[in-house]
Amino acid sequence: MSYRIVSLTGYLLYLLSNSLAGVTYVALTIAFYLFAFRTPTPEPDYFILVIGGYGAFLAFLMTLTIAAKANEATSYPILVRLQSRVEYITAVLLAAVLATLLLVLLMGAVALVRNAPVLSLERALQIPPIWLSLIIVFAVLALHASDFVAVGWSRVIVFGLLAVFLVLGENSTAVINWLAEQFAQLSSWSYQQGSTGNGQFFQGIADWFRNSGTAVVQELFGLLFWPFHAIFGATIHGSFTPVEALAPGTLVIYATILFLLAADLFANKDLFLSEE
Amino acid sequence: MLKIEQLTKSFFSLVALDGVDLVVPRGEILGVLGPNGAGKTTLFKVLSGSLVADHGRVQPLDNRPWPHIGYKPERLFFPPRMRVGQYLSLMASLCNLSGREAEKATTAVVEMTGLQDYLGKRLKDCSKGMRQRVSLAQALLNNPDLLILDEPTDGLDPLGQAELHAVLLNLNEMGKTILLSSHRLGEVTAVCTRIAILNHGRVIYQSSMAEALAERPQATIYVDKDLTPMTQLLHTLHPDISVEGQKLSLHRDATVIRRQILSILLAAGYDILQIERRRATLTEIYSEVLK
Repeated sequence: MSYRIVSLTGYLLYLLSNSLAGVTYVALTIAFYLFAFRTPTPEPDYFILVIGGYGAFLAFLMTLTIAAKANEATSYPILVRLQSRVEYITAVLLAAVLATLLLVLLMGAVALVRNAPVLSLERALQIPPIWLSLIIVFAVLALHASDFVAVGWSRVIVFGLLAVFLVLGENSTAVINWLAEQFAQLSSWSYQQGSTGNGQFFQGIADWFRNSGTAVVQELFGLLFWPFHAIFGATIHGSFTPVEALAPGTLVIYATILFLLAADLFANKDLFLSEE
Repeated sequence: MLKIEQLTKSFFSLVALDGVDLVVPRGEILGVLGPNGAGKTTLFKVLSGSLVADHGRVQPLDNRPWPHIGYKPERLFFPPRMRVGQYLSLMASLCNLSGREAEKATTAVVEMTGLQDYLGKRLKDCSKGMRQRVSLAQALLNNPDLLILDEPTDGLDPLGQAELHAVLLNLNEMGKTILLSSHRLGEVTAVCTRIAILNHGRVIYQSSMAEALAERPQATIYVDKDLTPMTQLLHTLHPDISVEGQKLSLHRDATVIRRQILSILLAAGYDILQIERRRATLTEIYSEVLK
């Protein structure tokens, strides 16, 4: 199985390197380097976050590209050979992560030499888990955005849920106020109907939303994005607290869950590979 | 080899397979026939694992393990910049073969499909016939027990077709089971040992080739005078009779009916000049089944 995954990864990287997209990503990386590191930037947090953020962005695009290549009709004979389709989706992820890492590391090496950020050993050791976890989680997210994995409304559901969490986690005041208003109106209507018990109940909910709802909802929905905030905050501050140190690991757990979901979707879907 | 039971596959409101029941016996070459849209390619894609059936099941006969399958899709797509040899090596590396075994398997299929001189050629520069050979070669790499070939000779010149037929017969002699679809009925007659005809997602006919051809013998009777005045009488005797001048064709020959017709013709003063008996062609069987 592992031998087949390695062969498939090599094949996908071959396809990428022989395509216009492969050249485009190299050009994009050079352009980004010239833009982001045009002035001397000795701050290590800038170095870590900017390259990490670009890595996440590139991993997303790279995975979409490689998944599109895997979704071509040339893959029919390959898929018949495999004992499990999961081998192929694993190879897609592996190829995307490897290609992204290669470009990110090259950019990092050039930036390290030319821009000379002041990296202590402690800061240097922070880099691999941060970059790797960001690249992996965005690569897996991109799998869900691709035709290769998506089934029916699956990508709308996955990204819709993420959007809901993002909106409610970052700015839930408007939504909470609206909900509080609705429950207050429901309460008034219940009183008018003579149902004092229901009126009190709905008023209680409306009051809860007004007083402590916003904080609770923001905390609840914001929990999903905690690892990103933790990594960002800790990198800016220069050191991780024991809890913040769990953030890259948490991202990898997210990626694992999303990958299992993607593998399950892919393993049970009808393959209509692109014949263009 | 395989038993397919009540296999159903729909794409929204389109029912592509509507309860397919089919047995693929070990060691046979089964030709799956049918008009365009009958469900042949969908059936092959379900068997090869590209599509997931809605209902029904496919299981190996006699509780044997699931066979190794080699699949050649109908439409040929290859990574265009790859060379033939590179492509076959890649496919061999996915077959659970060690490096040396993979090399050996590649050499064997290259010889079998006549690709020796084209290993360095880019796939985008190959002719359609050459691509058919490459596609067949990759399907053979894992030494499959069951070979599924969707339109294997499409695009091949007559010589290429004959060579491919020889390869298929050779593989069958080696004990391989082959499932193929084709619109070339002559090819199916020459190669297949069984046939199944699909229409509207159902198997409407299946038989061994020998039985299919033998169960619909035909006879043509030539007489000395015009048979038109006898047409109505002959039709009341047997509906599968056609009359054309001095020629009478009996589409389903049976000794009793033939004797009756001959005695009527003799009684009516016709001289029998010649009687030809022959087996039905697959084209005639196919047309009749689809009527």
